[in-house]
Amino acid sequence: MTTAHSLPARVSFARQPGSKRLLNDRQVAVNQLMPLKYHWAWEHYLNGCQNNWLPQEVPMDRDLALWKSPHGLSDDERTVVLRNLGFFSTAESLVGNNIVLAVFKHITNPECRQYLLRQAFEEAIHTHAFHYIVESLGLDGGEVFAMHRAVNTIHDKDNFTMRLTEAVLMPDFGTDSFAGAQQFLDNLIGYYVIMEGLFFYSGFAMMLSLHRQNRMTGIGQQFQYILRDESTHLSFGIDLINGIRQENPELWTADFEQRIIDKIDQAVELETAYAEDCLPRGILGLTAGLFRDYVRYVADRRLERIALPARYGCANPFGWMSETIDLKKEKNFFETRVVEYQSGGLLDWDN
Amino acid sequence: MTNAVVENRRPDWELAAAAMSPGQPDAGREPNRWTAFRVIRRNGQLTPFDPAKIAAAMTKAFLAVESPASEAPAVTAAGDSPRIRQTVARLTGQAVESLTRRHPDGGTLHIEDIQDQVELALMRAGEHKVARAYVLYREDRARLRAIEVPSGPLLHVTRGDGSRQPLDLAQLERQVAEACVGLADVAAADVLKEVRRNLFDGVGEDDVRRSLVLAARSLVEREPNYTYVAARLLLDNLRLEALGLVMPGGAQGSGLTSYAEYFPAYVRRAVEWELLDSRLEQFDLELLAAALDADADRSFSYLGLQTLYDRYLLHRDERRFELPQALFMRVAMGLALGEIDREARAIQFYKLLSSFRFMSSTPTLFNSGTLRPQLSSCYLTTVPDRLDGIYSALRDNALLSKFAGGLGNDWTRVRALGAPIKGTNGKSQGVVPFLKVANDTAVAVNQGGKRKGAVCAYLETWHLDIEEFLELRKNTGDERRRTQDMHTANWIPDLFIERVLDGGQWTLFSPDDVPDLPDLHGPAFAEAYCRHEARADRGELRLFKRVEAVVLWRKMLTMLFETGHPWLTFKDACNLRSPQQHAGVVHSSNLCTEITLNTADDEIAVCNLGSVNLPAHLADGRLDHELLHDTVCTAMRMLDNVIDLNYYGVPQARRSNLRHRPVGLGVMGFQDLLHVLRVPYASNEAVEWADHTMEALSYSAIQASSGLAQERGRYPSFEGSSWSRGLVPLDTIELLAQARGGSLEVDRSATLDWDALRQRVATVGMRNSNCLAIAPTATISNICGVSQSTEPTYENLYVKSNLSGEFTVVNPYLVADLKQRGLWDETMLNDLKYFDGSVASIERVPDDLKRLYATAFEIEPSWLIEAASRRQKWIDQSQSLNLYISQPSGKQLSEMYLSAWRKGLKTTYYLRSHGAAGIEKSTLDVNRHGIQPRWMKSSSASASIVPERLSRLEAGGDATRADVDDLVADRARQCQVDAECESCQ
Repeated sequence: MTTAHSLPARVSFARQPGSKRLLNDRQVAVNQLMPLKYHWAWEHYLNGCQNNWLPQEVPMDRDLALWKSPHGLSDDERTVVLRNLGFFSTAESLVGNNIVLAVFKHITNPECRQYLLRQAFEEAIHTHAFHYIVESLGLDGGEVFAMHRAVNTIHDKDNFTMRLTEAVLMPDFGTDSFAGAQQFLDNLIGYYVIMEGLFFYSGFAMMLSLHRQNRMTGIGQQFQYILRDESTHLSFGIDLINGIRQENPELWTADFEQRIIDKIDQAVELETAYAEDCLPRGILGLTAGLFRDYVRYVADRRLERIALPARYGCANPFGWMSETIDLKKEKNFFETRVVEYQSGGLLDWDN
Repeated sequence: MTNAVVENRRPDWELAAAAMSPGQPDAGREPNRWTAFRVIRRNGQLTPFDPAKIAAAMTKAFLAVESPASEAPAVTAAGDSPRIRQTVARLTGQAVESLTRRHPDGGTLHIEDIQDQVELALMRAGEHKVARAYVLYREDRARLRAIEVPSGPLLHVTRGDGSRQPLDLAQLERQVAEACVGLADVAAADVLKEVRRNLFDGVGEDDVRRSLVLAARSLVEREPNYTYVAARLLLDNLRLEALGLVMPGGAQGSGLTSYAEYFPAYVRRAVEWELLDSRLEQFDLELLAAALDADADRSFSYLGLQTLYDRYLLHRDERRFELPQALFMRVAMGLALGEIDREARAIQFYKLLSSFRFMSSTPTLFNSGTLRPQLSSCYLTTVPDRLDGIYSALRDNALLSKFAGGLGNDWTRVRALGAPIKGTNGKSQGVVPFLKVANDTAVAVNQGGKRKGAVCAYLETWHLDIEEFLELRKNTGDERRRTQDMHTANWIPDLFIERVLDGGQWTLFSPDDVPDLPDLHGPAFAEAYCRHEARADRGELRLFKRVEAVVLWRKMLTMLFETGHPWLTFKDACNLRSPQQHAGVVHSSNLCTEITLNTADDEIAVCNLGSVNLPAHLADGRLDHELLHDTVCTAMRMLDNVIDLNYYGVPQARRSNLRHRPVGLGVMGFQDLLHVLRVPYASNEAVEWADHTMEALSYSAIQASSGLAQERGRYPSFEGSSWSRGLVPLDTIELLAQARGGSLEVDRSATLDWDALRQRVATVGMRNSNCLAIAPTATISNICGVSQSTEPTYENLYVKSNLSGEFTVVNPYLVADLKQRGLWDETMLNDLKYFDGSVASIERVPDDLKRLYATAFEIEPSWLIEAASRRQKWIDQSQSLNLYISQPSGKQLSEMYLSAWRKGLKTTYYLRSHGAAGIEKSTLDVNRHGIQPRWMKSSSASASIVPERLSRLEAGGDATRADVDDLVADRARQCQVDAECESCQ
């Protein structure tokens, strides 16, 4: 993208939305948002903005009381909490880095960029949330935030995705070439489908399993907020990947498809290993064996969303997730803060 | 970074293989190499990792292929064949390496993964036949396991003292089966299956008990009756806990200990531990114990019992020792302490509570009969414009919330930002910094740990700080000027609404410039307000601001939409219809906007609440007036007793409460009543029901209060009240209409003989200045297992989230109807989840059911407002009315609240709206509904993707939805090679 810093020869002010492209769009030196072409990207952006939240909104006093209580949590339960804080605290920042350093440079479409900026901000909020949790519970921040170095299964997951970022950061990398464009798609799938779509999910299940027992509910609520954001991240990523594929069908070769499937196979192994690492013994409602199925179950949905056949055929072993995730919540306003409100800026006074 | 580690752990495969061969010198030391690894078995048990076992299994497979007839001992045979031994050793090595590669420091291996790797190693080596034999062997074992599994103690339980013992499955089975007795459509086996999934070897004793409840809970969405199964399992745990403490050494937990034995012991223990008033011991405890209805314990829903368990039942060092019927009797005894025939009254009160016909408010349930009987729900105060007065108001807040009272504070009199301060010649920071202090006080005083301090700040619409007040709950901006833990409400004079409607201007003042305004209402307020505006016009006021009324109105609505605050309440309707206008001014409502009582510097208003369960008073599709009257008379007596027994944290509260004796009788379960009657909420019939149930309740309550006046005397400030002039609530509508000058649209029809009651009230008098208020009943409706207050169904399937955790709630009436029409199946459940509990978009649901089960967001708000308007006819206080909006339309919002005003409502409570984007659903096949999430309006490339399994079906011709479901289910069943995927069992 050598032209990025100079104006293109001719700027058309009456640009047709139809001429916009997701990848290798040449006419973007001025960030001309209107007219919109990719309305879905803009809609994801609006949804992100409407779901604004901040970690401090969630009171942590009950968590602190339980964490400090000598019999509040078993050692195994504490391990689960710490491992997941350790993984997420760095994983969120990796995603943020990849957006800012790798994706943003090459996705030049303004409406997508608008969402990418929003997403990058949300990644910062999530990192902030883990910082807030660590501070609120008086944990050793150094230990939590350095866990990716001490725990192999976290290291492996992080490594897996960091390699994808590195490839795109090579000085001679560009999406103009066939191989480069494929590599970039690989990066998107690696981050949106695998990192945010798969690597986060065992952790979500573990933390919400405590939440389900009405324990560590402050952390649980933070994870519910994060999960809501992640649902939108994933949807945007899927739309972006499918959109690029639609516009550049030649990129999606049989070889490439096999490469993706292999990656997902590999990711399933890494994630299963991570779950086993977090759960050397069982804790109530969770055993490593169940995660084996759960990870495969999640992977199948991800495969289908990028038009690949499901390949593992497992059902979700955690039926209780219906209660903690799927069903709409009605909060007792007396007791808990309501998460449903959205930004008032979009109120329409004429209709 | 892991290179060094990798070097260290590179194993010597020859040695590993040798380990499974008997007689080799190295065999003895081999297990040490693998001590860092453990294997999770299918039953959750952990065993040491031993490659020799892999080798043994593989050898069996080789032998099965190479000498099929031989059933000879495998190891001996393998020992006889060096070729097999070497191959097995090599392949074992490969399998072990793949397994351990990602665990340089050791870890846990799943038995399934081990077997997968063995299979893989065999396939890679080209040993297809052997691999096949191995797979068959695995399947064989799986089949055997499937037969064996239900019996035999596979798991161990860790007891409190650390010892282990085999899990007694038979005992669990008995317990679950008993919990299912008498309930339709529940299966003990389904609960047990889920229990087994939650357990693992070494699980704690308490966790086993908890897992029973968790398991039953997770089935509630399929079948509402599981809520009772879960509750009974929880009751078992509770009995164990309570009886162990009250009657140590007794027949704990078994059904043998009866309430008759337990109850007297419980009272004596609680008095001894200084948790109950010692006067309770003087009751005839055996007589009371005999009146306890143990069977009533089985009518709790899970949500109800868990709520009691977590916060209501008395505990000692976090161990509950109070059983539910003991709680109700303790409350009844506490309320009968001043009665002459206290046993008879206690039993009368107990029966009302235990049958769920009426429920006292939470503070009464918490504290009745205890050493600090703070039984009132609500306190209203007004804060003066003096520093010492402000801080003494904050002190009052702290003392009043300590024992679970909710607070409403009127802050209108406190001068605004920039107003002069005489003493220092400085300028005021306005009301906001003080509100922050009030907020933090509420956090610091958390109601004895039972729930968070709860305060609502009121500000009148003309206060110069109103614009900042509106933003107090925003999550952006200076946190020092935010009150995230406090509720806020607008106190709106009619004149403001009129200016909005006329497109006029509105002037904001600092209250020290207009000290008369807080105490004025109606025409007198309008006159004074215009006079102050004229002063401002003449330049006589330094501090004021003029805004477009409609701009301020929109900002009020925008903030309400965005942050849920401040609520909108109407000053003039509250004052003009108050029976106590002769005795002061209503300056604000309370925490839940249903109380409208006078406050003054020396008067803190107090209100005791209780609610009648409406569906419990239906008989053959009609309201049972006689039963209702009986309930109301007893309930009013209980509420009136509270006033004399109550512990008052501050003297101004005691003084005011004894002078006016207000109480607030309300209702709950209105939506359930409509469901029983099969009446849609959005209908004239529902409005009529709202009208005449409230008329009946109001009539009985006023009659009861008058009866208590006859027995015990009138309330002291009765003379001059609207009661004393023979006015009932219906008659005060005229006062509001006159002040409004025609813009009041309230139905005034009546069906009962009010004339007789008017006369009686005027001559005999009233025991209570106010009788009626509809509270939100957020928690007590859960205890009784009915819908909240007069709220419509939130969703037909949703999660209630509160201090006790999250609870799945499924509308049992809908499920019953769907069952009857053969429509309640897995697909329907998934659709209901997918559409967030709404049936409107589910094609299979017939239209009549769609009307009947429309949710709060689908009902036109005008129906809720009309029903509330009809109720308001009969209520001398107000109601906690939530409103719902499905689309972010400012215009609709504005019309909704203007209509609430026109319809004569005194107050409104929360505005609820939907969140923007949701969370990806985890337990249903979302991809079937499309790759893009449901909330997306714009189509993307993802929209064209149809999952391969579905498109294959479509290509096959006339695939139905059920086929698709079957396919998905099939997939799940086929899972993994060995059909051992635990999720499909």
